[in-house]
Amino acid sequence: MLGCIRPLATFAFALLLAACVENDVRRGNDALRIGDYDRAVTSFNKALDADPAHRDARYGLALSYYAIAEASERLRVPTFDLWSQAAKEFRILSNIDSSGKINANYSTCLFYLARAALKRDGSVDVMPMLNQSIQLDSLNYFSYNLKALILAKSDIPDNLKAAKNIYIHIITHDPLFVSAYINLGNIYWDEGDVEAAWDTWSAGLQKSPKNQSLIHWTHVAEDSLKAMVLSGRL
Amino acid sequence: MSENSSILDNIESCRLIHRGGEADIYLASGNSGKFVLKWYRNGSAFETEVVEKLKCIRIPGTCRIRESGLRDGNPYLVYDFIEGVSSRDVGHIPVPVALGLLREVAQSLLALNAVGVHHGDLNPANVLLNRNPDKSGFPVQTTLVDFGIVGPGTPSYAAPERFQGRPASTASDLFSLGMLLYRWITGEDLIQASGYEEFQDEILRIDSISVDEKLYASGNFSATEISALSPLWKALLRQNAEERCEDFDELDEIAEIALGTLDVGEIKASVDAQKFAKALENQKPGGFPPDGSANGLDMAFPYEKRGIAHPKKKWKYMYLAVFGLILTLMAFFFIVGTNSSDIDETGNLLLKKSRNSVTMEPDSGLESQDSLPSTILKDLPTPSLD
Repeated sequence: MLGCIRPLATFAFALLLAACVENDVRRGNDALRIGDYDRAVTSFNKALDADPAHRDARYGLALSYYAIAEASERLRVPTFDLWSQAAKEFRILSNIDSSGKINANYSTCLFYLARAALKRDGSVDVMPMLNQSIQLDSLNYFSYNLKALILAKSDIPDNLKAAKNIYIHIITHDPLFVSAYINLGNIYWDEGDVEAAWDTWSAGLQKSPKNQSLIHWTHVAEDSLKAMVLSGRL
Repeated sequence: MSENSSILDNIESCRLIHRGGEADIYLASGNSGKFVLKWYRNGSAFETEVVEKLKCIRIPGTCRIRESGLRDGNPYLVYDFIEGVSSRDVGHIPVPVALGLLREVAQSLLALNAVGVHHGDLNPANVLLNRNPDKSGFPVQTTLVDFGIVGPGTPSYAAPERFQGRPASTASDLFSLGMLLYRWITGEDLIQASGYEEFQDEILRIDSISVDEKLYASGNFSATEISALSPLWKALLRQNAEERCEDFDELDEIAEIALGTLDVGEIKASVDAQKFAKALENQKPGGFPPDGSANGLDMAFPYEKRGIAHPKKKWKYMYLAVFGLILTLMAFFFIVGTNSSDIDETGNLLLKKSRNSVTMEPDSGLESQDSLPSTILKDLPTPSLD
C-alpha cells in the first residue's frame, strides 16, 4: 500500500507546489497588467524561487523589469541599470524558451539598453547589441534607426552609405517611421545636397504633416533652394 | 466454468487446514459461500472422467464438486463445504445405528455406481454425519466426500487390490465399507500398522483375521451382535474381490438381515438412532474436511488470483482511486480553475504599447524640435516616449 501511496503523495506534493507556482505567476501577471510592478516582481520572484526554470514566471519578471525601466524612461532618469536587469532576465529566459514568442520584447529591451548605454557613455560600442536586437526582430526599426545614426556619425564613407541604405530600408518598410526621413535628410543636408534633403523631408511631411521638425526643416530647405535659384547656383 | 468466472477468483479468504499425501486441503470462502479447495501437488491428479461426471449430476448423500481444473500448473477441485460431524470423531457407534449408517452410505455408493463412479477412499473422515431434517427417514444423514481418488486411498481402509495399483471399484469400496463398519462400532481401526508396507501386508492377509473373535475379545459386544454382524464381514472383508458380495444392493439386504437378527425392536432402534442424531448436534460442528491437524494459516492462497481483486486489494484500489480523484480535482482547481490571462498576452500588450506609439501617433509633436542632432541621440525616437 505504502509503495503506491508514496509516489502518489509525491505527485500530490509536486502538484500542490506547481499549483502554488501557477498562483504566484497569476498574481504577478495581474499586478503587471495594472502597473503594480514592484508587486509583480515579488510574485514572479517567489514563483522562480520554487521553480527557477518556470518560463512564464521568468518572462513575467523580465517584462516587469522592462515595464519599470520604460516607466523610468518617461521620467528621463538614468535607466541603464534597469535595462541591464531586464536584459539579464530576457537572456536567461532565452535559454528556456526557444519558441520565438519573447524575441520582439527582448529585441526592444536591447534597443533600450543600447540607447541607455550611449546616454551614459557616448563612446561605448553598442553595435553588437543592436545587431542582436535586429537579429531577434527584423521589424524593430528603432534598432535599425539607432544603428544608422551611429554609422552616420562615423567618418568612414561606407558607413555613411550603409546608414543611408538603412534609412531607405526603414522608410520603404514603415513609411510612417518619421525619424528616418529626418535623419536621412540630415545626411543629405550635411553633404550639401539640399535638393535631396528637401525631397526627403517633404516626403516625410506628406506622411506626417504636423511634425514640427519636418515642417521646420522642409521650410529651411525650400528657402535654401530659393536662395540657390536666385543666386544662380541652382 | 470459464477461467474468468472461476470460483477461485472470487475467494476472499483461504485457510490451509490439512496437508495430505497427494493434496492440500483449504477452507475457502467468498461472496458465494464456503468451499473446500483440494489442491493437488507432487504430480498428483484427480480422475478427470469421474470428476466430469460428478460435476454434471447431483447425487443425494454426496458432496457436490463445484469446479475442477488446472491453475498455475496444479490440478484442483472445489467442493461444497458441508457442515457436519466427521464419523471419525464420534467414537464407537451403537451397532444398530452403525448398520443404519452403513445402509445410508451404501445407497449413495449405489447411486454413484449407477453413473460409473467409485469412491476410492472410504474412511471415517470422508463420511460426514448430520441429523436428518426429514423425520420420515433414518435420523442420521450421511454425506460422502472426497471421492474419485486415483491412488489407493487411506491405507488402513484400502482393499488389497488397491495396493496392487488397481483402480477403485465396487468391490474395493465394499471392502472399505467393511473396514469402516468395524471402525464405527469399535471406535478403532481393524488394521493398525506403522507404515504403508505394513498396512499392505496386514490387509493382504485379511482372510486370516477373525473379526468375530476380535469383537468377542473386546467384551463390548453381545453374542447376538457378533452373530448378526458376522455375515457382513464375510461379505465385505475378503482378500479376493470376487468373494465379496456382488454390489451395494446385496450389501443392503445383508445389513437389513443383520438388523433383523439383532432383534432390538424397531422402536428401540429408532430411539437409539435419534439419540445418536441428537448427540451429533451437541458436538462441535466440523465440516468437510474435518481435519484437526489444520495449521490455520489464514490467507494461504495456493494460487494467483486473476481478474477479480482481493477484497483488501479492492479497498486499496478504492483508496487509490479516491486519492487520485482528489488529486485530479486539485489539479483542475489550481491549474484550470485559477488559470489567469496569458503572460504572453501581457508581453504583447507591452510591446504594442511600446512600438505603436510612434507609428500610431506620428503627429503627436512630442519629438524634439531640434532634429539636427548635435549628438547621435538627438531626434532618436524611442518606443515609449511617444
